[in-house]
Amino acid sequence: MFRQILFTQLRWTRTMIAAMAVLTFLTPAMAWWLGATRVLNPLSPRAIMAGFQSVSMILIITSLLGAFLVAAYPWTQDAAAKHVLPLSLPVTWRHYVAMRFGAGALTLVLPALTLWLGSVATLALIEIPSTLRAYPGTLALRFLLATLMAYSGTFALQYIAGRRSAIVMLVVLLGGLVLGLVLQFAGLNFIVERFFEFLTTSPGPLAVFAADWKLVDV
Amino acid sequence: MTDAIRIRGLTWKAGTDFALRDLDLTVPTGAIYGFLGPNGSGKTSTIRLLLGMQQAERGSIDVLGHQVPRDAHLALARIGYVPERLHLYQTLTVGENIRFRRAFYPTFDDAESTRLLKHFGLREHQLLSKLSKGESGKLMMLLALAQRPELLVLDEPTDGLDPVLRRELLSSLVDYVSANGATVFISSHLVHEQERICDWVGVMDQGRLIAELPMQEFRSGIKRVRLAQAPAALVGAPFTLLSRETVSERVEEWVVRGWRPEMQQWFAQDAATGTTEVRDVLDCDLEESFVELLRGARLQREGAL
Amino acid sequence: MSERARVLRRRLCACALVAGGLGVAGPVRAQSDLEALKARAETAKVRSAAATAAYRTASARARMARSDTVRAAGLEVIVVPRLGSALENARLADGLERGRSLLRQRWGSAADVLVDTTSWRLVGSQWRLASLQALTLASGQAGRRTSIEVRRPIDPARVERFVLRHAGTNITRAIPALEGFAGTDLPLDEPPETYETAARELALSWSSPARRCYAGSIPDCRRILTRAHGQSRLDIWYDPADHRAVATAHAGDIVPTDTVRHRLRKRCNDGEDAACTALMRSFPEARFPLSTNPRATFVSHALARSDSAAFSRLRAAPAEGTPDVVALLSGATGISEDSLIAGWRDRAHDTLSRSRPPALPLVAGTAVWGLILFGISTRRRPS
Repeated sequence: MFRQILFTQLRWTRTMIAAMAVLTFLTPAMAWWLGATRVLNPLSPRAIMAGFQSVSMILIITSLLGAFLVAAYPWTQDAAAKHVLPLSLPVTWRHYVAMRFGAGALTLVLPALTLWLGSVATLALIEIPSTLRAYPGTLALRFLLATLMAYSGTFALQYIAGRRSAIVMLVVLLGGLVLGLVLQFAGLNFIVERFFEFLTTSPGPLAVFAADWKLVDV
Repeated sequence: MTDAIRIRGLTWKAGTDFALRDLDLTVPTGAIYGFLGPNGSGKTSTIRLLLGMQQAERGSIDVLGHQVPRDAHLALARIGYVPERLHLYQTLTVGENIRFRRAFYPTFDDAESTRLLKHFGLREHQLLSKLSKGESGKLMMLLALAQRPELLVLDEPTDGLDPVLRRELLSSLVDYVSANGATVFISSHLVHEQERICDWVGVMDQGRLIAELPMQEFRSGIKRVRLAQAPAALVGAPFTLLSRETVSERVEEWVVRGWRPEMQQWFAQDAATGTTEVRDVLDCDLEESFVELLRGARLQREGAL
Repeated sequence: MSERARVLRRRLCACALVAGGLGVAGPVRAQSDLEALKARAETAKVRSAAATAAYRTASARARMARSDTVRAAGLEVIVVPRLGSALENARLADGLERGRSLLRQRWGSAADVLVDTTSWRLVGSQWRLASLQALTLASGQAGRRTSIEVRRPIDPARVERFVLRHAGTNITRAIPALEGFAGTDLPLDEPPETYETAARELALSWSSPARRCYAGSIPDCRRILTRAHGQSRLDIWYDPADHRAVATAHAGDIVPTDTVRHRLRKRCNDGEDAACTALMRSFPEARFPLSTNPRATFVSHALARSDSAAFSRLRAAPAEGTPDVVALLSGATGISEDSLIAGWRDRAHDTLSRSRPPALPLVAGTAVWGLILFGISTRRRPS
């Protein structure tokens, strides 16, 4: 059963996964190139760090966008027939959702793997200054965790809010903004600060995005 | 012998406009049960409820010995379901959809699937989005039959298809039932289609089951009776009056259910006046019976009878 | 020079003198008017500043009249009493007192000096709607004012840390011998983040000696901690191989009209090392490989490892002393130079090594959130 769910997942999202994989494979080399061409001294640790820092946003955006598409597309396929197919299958709804969730999550391992491979390949071709250390495994793991977190969030939103998920997201964002402004006005901005602190520090859900995304660091 | 489907006291509401109320329905094992009713009468809702796709507010549903919706997944493993509209993945091919479905049913018969594929003229590599309505219907029937179900639940499977295709699909269904002795629950508003294959009939109207009877009884039990000096009130009548209309000053035309020839005596002996004369007893065709049944039920609800 | 050229030059000089005389004679009167105007403006400014100061003092007094004041270690907190805040005021006072005792514990009688030289003082506070107290900090220097927020419920331990952090010493005033080495504030609680900054700056520095220091070379640490002046400092802090990187790093600061530097940069880009060195030397901001805060940690580290008398000895050192800060601190604290450097370097190195969070909490966090979100996904069944 899971194999077939995985097959459909791949069938629908293979283009996105492949694009993500290519992009993540090339990102480390791109970072090195940016760092090396930015200054004359390619072995300067600061320049190399700056290069890797500048592409970290590419990785974050890739993980968010990829996760969103991988979570959303299968749902739209089921929603096209009002979920009659999954509901008529001889498995519980929880079981079906678990398989869909697992299949999507599994496909997202591939871009993380190619990021690791790309990092290892780049590091094999370049020489980094002795005060710097490379973290290919950590970066790939962080990318995977961030992608999975974004995927889980989108997946949950889709399966809870359905077609209204975009509206729900907008309402949550706007509501949060208005509430933040009200709290700020009332002198309670520490609530907003604490909330963001909770979100972005471990074990908060967005901690992985706020963490360090550099392949090379001290 | 247990019943394949047994629904008791089922109540379900869809918003404020529509509700199924205290629905009792029984489908005997091995029967081909025609589930008739006009559009919007609650047929599809009843089917979705008995497959566990929706949850009732009250009442019990028992399908193949399993409580639904609690054990719907166990029941669904033994049910072949063909919904009203195409529910398969349109971005996959015919073959991919077959393989997807096969993975969920241990009883799936590959040989039967291949045979039906050929029989229906479908090609494995065809994308579902490119299939015609008839081909989609065939594929859904193929999938339902190839999983060798004990119960087939078909929701208007031939709706919108041409007569040739309709006949082809129904004959496949009949072949399967005769070979495997499965139970069929088929919903439709096409009365003549049901007449050919069903042995039981249930009629839905406005969320209520207004009749449930063997096809034979449905076919022969509804009559148009022309009476002279008809009694104003009916007390202890051995039949059910569905409607009455004044034809001329002294003559009325009644539509009755459960009519038998010997009931003519009742008007002469037992009816209140004893002066009623049965002038004529006319047969109704199936569609007429269906329409009269609905009319009678509605008049009764409005208190006009 | 030929006779003809000499004549030409004399004529040109004469022309210039005539032109200059004509040009200057006019503006003399205007200049004196301008001076007078300037003086009047200055007087007005002083009067205005005095009036503003008087107003501020009056309003501060008015505020003080409705408030309690809590003092500790040179920190002055003005708490506006409100219903139900007595307990929290007591906690605030408790925290301040604990901070003060810690300061005394560490610095002994020198704590009074520290108190005198505290750069920031808390002079106001404001209860906000529900849950926090905003404390206003004012510096001894005119016009500098900032505010921080102490969250409720007020935790004495947090206030204590706050005292230690903000009762920092103004190094220039407290230790004249360290002027120009470690910025203005000397943190008394040796916050780990400044050590982390020090380690990062060492590891990422344009300077090879700094990077070797990070890798553990004590002589190189000594090189980059030397307070040198003039052009020779660049030779102490940087290897010739670093000049290109330093020059390139500052190349963005060259203004478009600075043709000399542009030419140097082009030659440097073309691979001419001498041009790179010249370009580097042309930037006055080509400076210490370490910024002031990490350097201040070196002073804090040295003082923290010795007795409180070291602070007094350091204070007594002449202002125009040795450029060798390491020797100065070693002399004051009685700890060997190598030991001081190694201790500081190790602490910085270890802080950075520890600062990288292990992956396990992130993995566990993601797994838990993933499960929660998956659980939410299954809550609603479509119908």
